[in-house]
Amino acid sequence: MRQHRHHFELRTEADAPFVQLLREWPPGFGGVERVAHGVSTELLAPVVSLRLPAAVNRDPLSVAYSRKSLLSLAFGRVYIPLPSLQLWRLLWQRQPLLAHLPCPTVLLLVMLARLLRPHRRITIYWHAFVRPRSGLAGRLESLYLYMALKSMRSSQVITTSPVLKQALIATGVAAELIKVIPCALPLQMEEQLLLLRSNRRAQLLSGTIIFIGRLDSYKRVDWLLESFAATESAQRLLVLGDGPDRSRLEVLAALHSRSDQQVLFQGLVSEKRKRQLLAQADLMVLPSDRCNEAFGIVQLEAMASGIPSVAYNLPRSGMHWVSALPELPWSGSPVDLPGVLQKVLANPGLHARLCHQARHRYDHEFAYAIWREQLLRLNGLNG
Amino acid sequence: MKAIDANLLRDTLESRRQPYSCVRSHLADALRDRKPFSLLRIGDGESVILRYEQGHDDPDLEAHLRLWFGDQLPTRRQLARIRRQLNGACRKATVLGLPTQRQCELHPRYRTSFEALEQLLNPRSQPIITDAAVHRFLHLSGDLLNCLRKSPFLGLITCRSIVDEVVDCFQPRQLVLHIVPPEQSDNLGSRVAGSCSWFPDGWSHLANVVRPPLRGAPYLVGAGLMGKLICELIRQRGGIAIDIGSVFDGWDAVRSRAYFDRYPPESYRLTHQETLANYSGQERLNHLKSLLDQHEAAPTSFRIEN
Repeated sequence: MRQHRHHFELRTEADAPFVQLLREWPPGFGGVERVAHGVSTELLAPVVSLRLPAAVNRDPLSVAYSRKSLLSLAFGRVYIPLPSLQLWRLLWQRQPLLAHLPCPTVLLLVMLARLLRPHRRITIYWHAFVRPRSGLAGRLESLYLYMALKSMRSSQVITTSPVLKQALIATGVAAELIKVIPCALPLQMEEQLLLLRSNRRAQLLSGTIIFIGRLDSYKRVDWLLESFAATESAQRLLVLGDGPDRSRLEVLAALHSRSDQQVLFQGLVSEKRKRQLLAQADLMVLPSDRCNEAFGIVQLEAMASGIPSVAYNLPRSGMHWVSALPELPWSGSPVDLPGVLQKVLANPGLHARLCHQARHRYDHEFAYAIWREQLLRLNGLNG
Repeated sequence: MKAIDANLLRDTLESRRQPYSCVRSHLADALRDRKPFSLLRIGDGESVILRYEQGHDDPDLEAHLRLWFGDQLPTRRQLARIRRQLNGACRKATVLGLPTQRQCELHPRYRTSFEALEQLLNPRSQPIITDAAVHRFLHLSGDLLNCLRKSPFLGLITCRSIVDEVVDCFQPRQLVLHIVPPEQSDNLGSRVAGSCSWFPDGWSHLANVVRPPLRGAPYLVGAGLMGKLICELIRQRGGIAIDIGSVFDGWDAVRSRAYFDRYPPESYRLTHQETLANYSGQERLNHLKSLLDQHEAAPTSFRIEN
């Protein structure tokens, strides 16, 4: 029921404070579309995306707002919108625009919209910096980053952590233009994860580590497998997710795991199964090595359910900030990962205190109610 | 003349039928020597694919396709490819379970499957022929657990949410789960809801990601018709595939087959295998024979031991 407590004045699309523009079809499984979903669920803001939903995927969360996709041509991972009434409406209308980056096509559409209506209020939701690769793709990524940062000097910007805010200021974006709203979990998900806390208090440490995410090269599950094997007190590693690296990681695990340890590749699981497995875990690890992973929303799932998470401390990424706890003995350096895993898993007292701190931090900084308050305040909608 | 030839062929195929004790030895050898291996079973349902011909309407085919694939049916071209791949999987299987002669007499679909395989498998073809109930024997005897307990690797290909139970029972060092779409009649048990369908993307994705990480890595497969094709992929890629089909349902307390009702409720649960963990090989075989004697309508129709 609490899912439907939108602001009393917001009942139709036209009343929505803005239209959202993003690459993917929300809610999806990625951080950007999850954030867009949260915003639109609360404000009924319509969403325009470049991609249609995948035919085989149902929406993982319920949706009550309007979604449209632009007619687009795909060139690899880049989507080029074709001329259409929908595109014209998006660019020409006066309704403020909230555009989610990173995405070069979204950036180009923002620039075009600004050209057509110079006084239109356009806000950039800056989710992540992109670390340019080598070669031609890298040069294009550098160009995108340059244009995006230049474009933001005249926009309101929302970002997800103080770390990203500082990084944006360092590139020349004015501090007063930047607001920080950390990501949040959907309310329904939060409620279900909070239920896991009561059972967890009676649990003994089992040496179980959980990873949740796409099995892609930048997630560095290979590093996690190595650290897991090097951690004496680690007994079981739960790997949730699928992706192009899965087969390679299965081979790595088969070659490197210790005889007294278990590595369980669970594939893509339902939300219910994910909660079951979170309930078994003592600790989450998010080992991404690129700033593309700028927040790590999955860490909130761990903290909401009552366990600590650890993530690398990377420049221009807030994921280490998200899971930082007063007593977590963690530099954020990849070489220190086995050390911190051992300290946490071998010390029930420390682990219990970290669980308490994770719950406390979640409740006071990342809870849905806090996020909602920040969102409404930002848009001048809170009374 | 044709009838005589068919009888001769049937005798040839039937004469190759090996007892269960022989199959379990082959499985144990493959696991020990890390040899590529596939055990798959052909029952009544596969008859509609084995005899499939493009352009021939078959109401039985339609019903089976709905059961396996739901609303996302394969195209005729995909169906022809499935038939070719199923034929190949049967020809190249290490062990192929076939309906018993008694089953063939009881239902024409079993006979159709048997006759299709008579035509498919020439006398020099590879598979060891045995009873299609071989998956149940592996479970009821406790041999499956005996072979695979504390294995360095175990792959599961199923729609059932029984991973935690399997991990507790088999205690593998590494477990890999691939979730497959359930049969459409299945509204029972703890199958994974909302998983993708076989077509257009599910099958190609699975065929791409199922890759044994080690030579001789064992997989337990329960995926209906498509499971037979997966078994062959695993064998080709150096793994050991065991098509245990509805035994997964038993582990999940889903009584999806008539034979579950003939046995005491715990007989098809994982705990049954655990109770046999300390039995010797011969004791497990004797236990299996005793169970069949007590609970099967025609226990002598199965070949357990020479």
